[in-house]
This record gives sequence, C-alpha cells and structure tokens, in this order.
Amino acid sequence: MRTGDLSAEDDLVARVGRGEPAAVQAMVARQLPRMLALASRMLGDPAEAEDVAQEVMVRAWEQAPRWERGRARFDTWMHRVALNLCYDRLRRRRERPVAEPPDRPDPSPGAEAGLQARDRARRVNAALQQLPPRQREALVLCHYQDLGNIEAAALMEVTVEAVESLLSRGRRALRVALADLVE
Amino acid sequence: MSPERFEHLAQAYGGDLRRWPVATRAAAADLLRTRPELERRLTMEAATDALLDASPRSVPSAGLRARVLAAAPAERVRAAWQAGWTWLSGAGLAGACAAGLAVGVLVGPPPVQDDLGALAVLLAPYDPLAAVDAEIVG
Repeated sequence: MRTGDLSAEDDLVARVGRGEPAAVQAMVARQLPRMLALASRMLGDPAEAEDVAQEVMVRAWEQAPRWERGRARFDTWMHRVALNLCYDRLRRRRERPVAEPPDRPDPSPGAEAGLQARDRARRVNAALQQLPPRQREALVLCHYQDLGNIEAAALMEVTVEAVESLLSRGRRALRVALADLVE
Repeated sequence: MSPERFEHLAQAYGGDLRRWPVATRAAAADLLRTRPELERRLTMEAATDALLDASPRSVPSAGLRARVLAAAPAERVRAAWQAGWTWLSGAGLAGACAAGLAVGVLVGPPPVQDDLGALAVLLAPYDPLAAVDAEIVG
C-alpha cells in the first residue's frame, strides 16, 4: 500500500465526513460500482446486490465523520462491511430455483454475437454461484476487485497460502464447469 | 523461484504476471526466460482468466445512485433546506406573511423598505440555507 494513496483516500473520507458535495460525488463514483460488483458476484441476485451496495454506502456516510486518519484503508473497511452483509444474506437464503427470464430474439445485426456473449456471461455467473462461498469470495476479491493477496487474506481472516489454495480450487472448478467454453 | 512455486502461483493468480503478487513478478519473469516450457501453464491459466472476465461488471442504476446520494451528508442538508423552502412556498409562506402583517399592524408602520427586503426580514429565521452555507463553507 502506497502511503500517498492512503493519504489521498483519508483526505477524501474527511471531506465526505464534512459533507462536501464534490467529495460525496467522487466517493459514489468510485465506490458504488465496486461495492455493487462485489455484491453482484457474491450473491448472483441483482436486487439483493443493489440492497447491499446501498447499505454499504449508507454506512460509509455514517462512518466518514469519525474515520481515523491512517487507521486502515477505507476501501478495505467498505469491503469488510459488504462481505458481512453478503454473508448475512447467504446464510438467510434458502435454496430455491430462480426462474430466468427467457431470452428475447434480437433481429439487429451482430445479434448472434451478442447472444453468445450474454450466454457466456450467464454461464460464468451461474458457475460462480455454484462455487463454495469462500472460493467465490477469494476469486471476487483477488481477480475482480483487484485486491492484493495480503489485503484479501486479512479480509478473509486467513493466511495468504489459504487464499492461494482457495483461488486455485475455485479456478479449477470453474474450468471444469465451463470446459466447453474454454478457448 | 522454483518451477513448482511458479506453477502454484499461476494456478492461483492466473496467466498474467501483472496480477501476481508484486514481490513474485521479477523472479517469475526471470524463471520464464530460462524455462520457456512454463509458458504453457500461463496460457492455460489465461484461458481461465478469459472465462472469469466474461462476467461483466454491474453498472449502478440511476435509481440506486439517486438513493445513495439522497442519504449522503450533503444531500441530507440540501434535502432539509428544500423541505423547508417547500413549506415556505405553500401555506407556510402565507402564514408567515400573515404573521408579518399582524406584527406590522401592532408595531406601526415599518421603515421604508422595498417589498423583497421586508419579506427577507420576515423569512430570515426560517431560512435553513444560512445554516447550510455556514456548515459547508466551515
């Protein structure tokens, strides 16, 4: 973690805590997509993911005025909140089949390629949801959220070696589930 | 770095060395130069990376963004001001004016002021914008 990055983040958080509109807008632009992306891939449900992302941002507004400079990365704290909220929902969720909306034929040029891309994305997302939550979490944090291995290990409260084991197993399981898509 | 370590890291972090832990990249690149057959592992893992990357990133909807902004500190203050102004623009304004007229009758003719100036004097205690400006400017 670069000291300059932490300092710039602390500055932004302090300005958010003071209610500066430009800082609030910057925080939303930067963090809302990140929190939504994490929740979307952890939960696989767009509505639940929006709820989690919104709740994380609300808690960020509450935390910003009392955030201690240099304490930790605010982004890491937000990830912790998001993961906790996701796991709360995963624990409450009952296994039930979710009906997917039927694909509507698109007559526009390039529709076939678009359909293939959407089908590929749908299958990858479905395969992600089939992974054990901890493997999915490791993949989400390291591959999608671009967190470093040390930061991910701290968030997951495991060693770096454990994170690497989860990543390897998750990636292998995805490769098996999506073998026909591997180019 | 040993080939076994290289394989372990590739299976965890994928086929792009830029995604590997910073401390491992130089050693991995050095090993690749002497053991080009390890490129095969990177190619295999790159295919898995491509699968992962097929999952598109969700984009926040306008509604979500609006809800988040509405709950933000500055937006809460602005919303409170707007709520106050909405009250003043309706029956509240009429009531304030009526109260002002009543005060004017009781205390006698006011000093010479234009209509807007008199209205500003009457409405000053109800103007939350003054408090908003003070808080934001600091």
